[in-house]
Amino acid sequence: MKKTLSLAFFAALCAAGTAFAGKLKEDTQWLLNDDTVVTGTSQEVKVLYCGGANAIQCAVSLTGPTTIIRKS
Amino acid sequence: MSRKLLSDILSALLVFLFIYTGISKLLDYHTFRRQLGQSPFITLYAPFIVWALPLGEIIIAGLLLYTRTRLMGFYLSFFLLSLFTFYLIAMLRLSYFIPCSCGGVLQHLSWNAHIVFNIVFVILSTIGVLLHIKQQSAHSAN
Repeated sequence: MKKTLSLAFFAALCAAGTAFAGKLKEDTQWLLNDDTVVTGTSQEVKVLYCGGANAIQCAVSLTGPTTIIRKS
Repeated sequence: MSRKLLSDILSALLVFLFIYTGISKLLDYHTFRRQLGQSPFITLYAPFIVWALPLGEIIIAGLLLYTRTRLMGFYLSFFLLSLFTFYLIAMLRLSYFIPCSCGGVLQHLSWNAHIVFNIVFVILSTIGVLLHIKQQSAHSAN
């Protein structure tokens, strides 16, 4: 019983650690106007998805209040 | 390798899978909810599934931890993984739009790779069920 518990518990601890570590390492996620979710730095998202002349909101950070404005 | 050790290893693998994907889904709650909402088959049930699925995964992992409840854990793993595999196959065959609602690094797998991954774990669950049943019948024979 003890050995069984230790092996399975070890697996559970590793899994929980991996999940939390993965979350910490992850890039910020951004919600675009067309409801798609992309990841990357704000600069990457601005360059890749927010091209154009209108100064309207293009993407919202899912992990904070930051917004990206279209290039004007 | 003894049957007991094999059963321990199989349950540890499933525990790892369910804890990892369950916690990843809960940590990415908003994304997971949005992805489920986009899924053509389960949009209506998304508010329920967004909590029930990760909690169910963690409960199954809990059942797999203890020898007494392990057989139930293997059965539920088999059921959940089979259901998910059928869902993936149905999405691939019947849906034009396929959002990925997988937890953690699994969302980087291709759909076909995901199906193969699931089938492997369905097979592992089946082996676990069979091993456990044999172990139990051997115990009751003694």
